Amino acid sequence: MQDKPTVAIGLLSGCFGCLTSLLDIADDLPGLLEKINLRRTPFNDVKEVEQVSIGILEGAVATSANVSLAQEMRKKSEVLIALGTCSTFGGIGGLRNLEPVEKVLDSVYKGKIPNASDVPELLPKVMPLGALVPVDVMIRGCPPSSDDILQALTALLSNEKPAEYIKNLCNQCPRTKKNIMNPRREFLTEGVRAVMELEEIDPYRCFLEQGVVCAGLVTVEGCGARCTSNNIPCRGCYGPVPGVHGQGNKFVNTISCLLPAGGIMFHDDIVGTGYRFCLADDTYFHDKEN
Amino acid sequence: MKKLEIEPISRIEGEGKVTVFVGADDEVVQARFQMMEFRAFEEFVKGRMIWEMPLITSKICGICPVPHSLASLKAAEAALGVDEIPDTALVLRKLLIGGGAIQDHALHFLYLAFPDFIFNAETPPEKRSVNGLLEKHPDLAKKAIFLRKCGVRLVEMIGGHAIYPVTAIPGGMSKSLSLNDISEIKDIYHKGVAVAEECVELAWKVVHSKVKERFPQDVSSSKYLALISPDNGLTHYDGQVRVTDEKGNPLETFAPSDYATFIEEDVERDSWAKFPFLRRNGRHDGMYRVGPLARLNTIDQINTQKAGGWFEKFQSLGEGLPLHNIIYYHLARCIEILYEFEMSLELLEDKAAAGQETRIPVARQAGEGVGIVEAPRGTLIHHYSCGQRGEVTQANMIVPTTHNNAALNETVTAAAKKAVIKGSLDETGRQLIEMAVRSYDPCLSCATHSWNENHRLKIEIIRV
Repeated sequence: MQDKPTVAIGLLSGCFGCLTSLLDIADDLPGLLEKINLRRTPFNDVKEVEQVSIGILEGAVATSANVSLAQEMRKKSEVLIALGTCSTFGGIGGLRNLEPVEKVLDSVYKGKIPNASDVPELLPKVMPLGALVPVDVMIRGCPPSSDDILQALTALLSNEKPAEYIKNLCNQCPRTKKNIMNPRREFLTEGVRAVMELEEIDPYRCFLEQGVVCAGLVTVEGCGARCTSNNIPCRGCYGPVPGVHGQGNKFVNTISCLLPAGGIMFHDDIVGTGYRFCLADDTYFHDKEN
Repeated sequence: MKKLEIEPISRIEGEGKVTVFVGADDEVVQARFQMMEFRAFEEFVKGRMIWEMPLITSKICGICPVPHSLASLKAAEAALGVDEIPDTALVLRKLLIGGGAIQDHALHFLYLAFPDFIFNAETPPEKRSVNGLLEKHPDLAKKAIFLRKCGVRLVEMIGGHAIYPVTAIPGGMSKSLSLNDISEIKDIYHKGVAVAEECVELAWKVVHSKVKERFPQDVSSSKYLALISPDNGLTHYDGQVRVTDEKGNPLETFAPSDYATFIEEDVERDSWAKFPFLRRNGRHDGMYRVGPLARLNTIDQINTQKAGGWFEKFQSLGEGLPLHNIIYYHLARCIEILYEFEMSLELLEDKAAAGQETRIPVARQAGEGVGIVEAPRGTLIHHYSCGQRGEVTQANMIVPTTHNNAALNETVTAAAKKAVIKGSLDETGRQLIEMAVRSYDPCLSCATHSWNENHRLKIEIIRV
């Protein structure tokens, strides 16, 4: 019992979705629990942050309390895992970086802003975990698939390095591309449309070729193309391909070569689509480089 | 001033904090459940496109993304002037919300709350968990896993994703269900009905033992708010909003789009979460509760055979009055699991379930719309306005844990009065307070869509 590797899970600013995905390993859960000794997690009553073999953090770093928990877990974990897109790239909550924090608060609470010392301070900007402390393993995805989480943990438990995805989503997407592969002067379509506006959604053809903005080109594979195979374009939730920062910038560059600029500007939301899951990562590395 | 803390409160969705104020005479003055997260969804969705809102807002919560996606979708459709969607889409959405409720309720009752009914303060803290359940009652643990799998599989099939559904778009659904899918789901759901019924029996037993034992009975009574179907029955996807008083008499019934006429939101200085109340009763008398208990206290009937029978038993416990003790939340939750299985099986028999016409095209336009659904934890309201290009200009969301905010504080105070002995808390007392909080199944990521710390539920005792 004492020899089993210990595992702790902490929550930063997130939504519990990655942990739901962890629970979704379902029939493999009893087997996994036999191999590890679970310490402080939201699933039991252990309160103390203890020294553990594997520490897992879900969520982005957005408040003073997030900072202290992340730092404590880093100190006490032999291996620290950033689980999911909020932790690895800041996630959807990073969109609050579009405005100064004071303006955000004022707009939500209309002047009556909570201010007791018990409420943790909001950081000026949401950060990915890696911007605060060194991270040993990143498990990508919003949420990472149950299989990916199980495989990563199984690898770590046998002292192996978890496998990484390296290609973009188009590699897993079942849709066919025709025009996009041919160098040409014209844009792919005359306008830009939302999926709901299409008379028919062509289930076999690349969304970009249907004039629908899709982030698959600048997003790492791994999800199994779960959105595009269900007639919904990619929104980039797995973040950029390893080694790349600035998924949003790459998105803008790519899309503006393919679809009419006016259409993108006026008929869609380039910021909320291209930067949806990685704005915090983009702002952090932008600030660091300048 | 002296502070005693339990941090974090365990086995809830997120980490949160309770502060107990103790007077000089060692008596509990007040206790507060503080929500300390802030994620600013209402702010940063401005400028996004309205048809993207279901995809964006489902990321508010990784436990109940399905209702977020559907409330959002209904608000978007109202703003875009979509009056009717194909029958198939409606059936698929009702199945989807049912699948979401099954996995969520099962997670809460069996994985998170149930350890309280079989372990006490002497059990090591790491055993008060699904781990302990696996060791002590492996069969029950496997049933818990199975129940969740049923809901998760359905959401994956219809929603295109096991957690966050992606297929619900304005005008309908982006994909249909195949006959193979339908027969697979029917198969597991038939097994599910039997397991769900065992689950209700189990809840009936343990809830009664707690009521007899020591669980705080002295929580205040409250008003209740929930959606009801046209025949005053249980509904999760659509209906009118009904509010009942402490004795169970209907106070108001209103259309979802009128919610702002009846509900107002207040802000307090020590919590990022807002405090909604009924306008007609004012901030203090206007407290109400939502969630499984509220739904069962508000409706007149459940239209499925087995769950309907259990509902009658549930009602008879109150002898004509609503059941106010928070422990009954668990029983209500389990009756709902059973209802969702039965209702879904009926829907799957409907020809429309296999229909291929799942959507109509929708054009962008300026507008305003409200969408309300019953999420597992209660009434969920999304309200948006958008401009001509479809860009969101204004958004407001009231989530179940926020509706329950005021009531949760009262409950925690009642529990603390019982749990704090001579100005201090032992492990049993702490568990009592935590159980009181857990009855509501608070979802901190939801409540903190506009507040967001590290989701800690921390119990503090401050001597003043």
